[in-house]
Amino acid sequence: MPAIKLPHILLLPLPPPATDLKIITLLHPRTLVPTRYLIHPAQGLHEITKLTAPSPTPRSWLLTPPPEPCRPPKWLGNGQILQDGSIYICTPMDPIFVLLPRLFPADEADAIDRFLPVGDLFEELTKEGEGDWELVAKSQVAEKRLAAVCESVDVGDGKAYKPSREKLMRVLDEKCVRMAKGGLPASMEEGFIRKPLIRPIAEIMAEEAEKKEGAGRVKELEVRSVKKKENRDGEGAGWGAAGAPSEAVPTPPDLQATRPWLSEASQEVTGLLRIRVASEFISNNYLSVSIAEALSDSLQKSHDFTPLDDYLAELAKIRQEATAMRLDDYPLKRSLEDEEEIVDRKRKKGEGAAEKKQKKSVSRATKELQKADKTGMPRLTTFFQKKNAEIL
Amino acid sequence: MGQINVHSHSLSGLFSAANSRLKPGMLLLEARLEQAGVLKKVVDAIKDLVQDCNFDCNDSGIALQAMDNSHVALVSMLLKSEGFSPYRLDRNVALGVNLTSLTKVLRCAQNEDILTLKAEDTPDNLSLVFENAENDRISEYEIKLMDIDQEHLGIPETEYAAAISMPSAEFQRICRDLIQLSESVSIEASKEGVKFSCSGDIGSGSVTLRQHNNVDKPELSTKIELTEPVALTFSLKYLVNFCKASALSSVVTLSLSNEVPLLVEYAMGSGFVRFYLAPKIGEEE
Repeated sequence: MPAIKLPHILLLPLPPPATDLKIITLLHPRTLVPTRYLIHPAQGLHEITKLTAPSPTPRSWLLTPPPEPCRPPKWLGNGQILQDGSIYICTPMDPIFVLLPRLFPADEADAIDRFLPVGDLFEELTKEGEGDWELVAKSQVAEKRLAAVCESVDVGDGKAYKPSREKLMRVLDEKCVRMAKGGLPASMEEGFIRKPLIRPIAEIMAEEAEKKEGAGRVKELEVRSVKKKENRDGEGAGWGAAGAPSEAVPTPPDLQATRPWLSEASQEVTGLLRIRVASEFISNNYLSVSIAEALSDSLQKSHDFTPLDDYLAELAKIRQEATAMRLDDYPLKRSLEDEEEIVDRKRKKGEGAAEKKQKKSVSRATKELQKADKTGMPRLTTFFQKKNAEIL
Repeated sequence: MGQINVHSHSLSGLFSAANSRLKPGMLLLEARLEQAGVLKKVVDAIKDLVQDCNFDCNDSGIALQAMDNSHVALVSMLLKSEGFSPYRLDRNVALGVNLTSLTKVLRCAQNEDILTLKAEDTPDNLSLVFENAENDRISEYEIKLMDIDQEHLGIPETEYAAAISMPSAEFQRICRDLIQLSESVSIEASKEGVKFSCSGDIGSGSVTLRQHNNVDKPELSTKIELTEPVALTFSLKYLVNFCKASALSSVVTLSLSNEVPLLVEYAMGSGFVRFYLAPKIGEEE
């Protein structure tokens, strides 16, 4: 393989003071795997996400020089084609996430339980070494975010901080609510909110309707799914980070208009489910297991999920009934009994074949004999006794 | 004639020598039959009655006993060891054979061929060697053996009320004629003779054979030994089937007693084929 490094297409935050951008390696807050992040001198930490076209639709890049004014573009000769059609996107990320595993370790014994000035706190956090923590620590944003999850006391000219779980939970809670407010990104809305909340009858109707709409729609969905992906990845980091230019831009749930059945679930239930999905999303992507558990508990306390749980339980019941009903109507799927029947039939077939073979090997005279009228003829065993000992 | 004999002897001598050289002491059974036709006819006679059965080999010879599928008829066959030359057997053994397969192999033998049955110790196969003296041809076949779980019936010595011996061809002819009218035949034996009669949808018929003695051709005589008159009814289909053994012997003996199975016996010089058939008991009312 040639050692030439192919360029990557990277979408950078604006404006690009190119020289000041740095790519650093930090431990991923969820997996603790070394992961690359982008540091912007003003906007702080950025997450890098790779977007790849779905495998059935291969894509590649065609790079051309910027078109010069007044001249027809020269396409040939100056361009470059990259086989890899993926694009890397940098999205702002709350730096607090990368600090969390150290601020709030799973083992309580390792937790920092005294007030420390910012500098010392960062030192404490980064002393175990791996990763380029200094750059994170230096940024203004980091200190603000740190303050958000710590109790603070004034010490002389500065402040001292101590990590506080309560504050962290409040922050994360806020993040979930903000993400849920106004609807999740379209693909998440579709998969995690709309589908689980549809009533089965409506589902059947919808399926039929969708069938009618046909293939054109499928295409549309594909296009949308690509967009959604981008949206979501942007979204993942979009909320929260103070000073981040993009506040969470929720995709307006325009689907609701065309899909009336969603309105069956009350706004309250939908909202609760959104919060729950948002918390799951954040937990799965940015939080360590112990913090995720704590978040889930804290959310249970701060929000009353009972209406949602009741509604979901009811749906599950209806769905089960509907499935049973449909099975009765159209026994398309093989039940266990059917399978047994099939096995039976196969066995019978096998037996039949064996019987046929035997029949074939039986001579005509034998068949004639078997047809003989044997009424009134007792078996020979009534005349002759069975011998116990062999003749041999 | 003598020449041929010498020839065949030398052939078989060569053959057994070759065998003993190849597999010393491995042979469990070796039975040489001067005329393959005998076994051919025996198997032909019973293959329609039973499909799979054991050939029980012991010192007295090769025996076979089996019932038909409906268990109303039984065939018992014996080829005495004297009929073979030589007859060598290490220990008693039951060779389970599919008679259809055996028939196929035996079709490859001519009646005059010398047939040698051979089986190894713990045999999987029965090998048959046909030697044609005239053409100096040796054919070797093997058929796979099978395990057959078979029960033998003890057939008691019976004093029959009537024993009729008659030409086997005659018996065959009577059965074939009467089956056209009916499925069953009534056989009545009296001092005067034996009467086969039947009646069916299209009418009725009967054939009576009187006792007579043919001095010139004793095999064409009809003899009746009677202690008391007997009348029994039997299935003609079975009787017709038994008649396939007519090739074995020119004389057939029918032995009857009330309420016991009919015995139809074809005797050979060194053995017999016997058929037993249950009478129709309930039908006469």
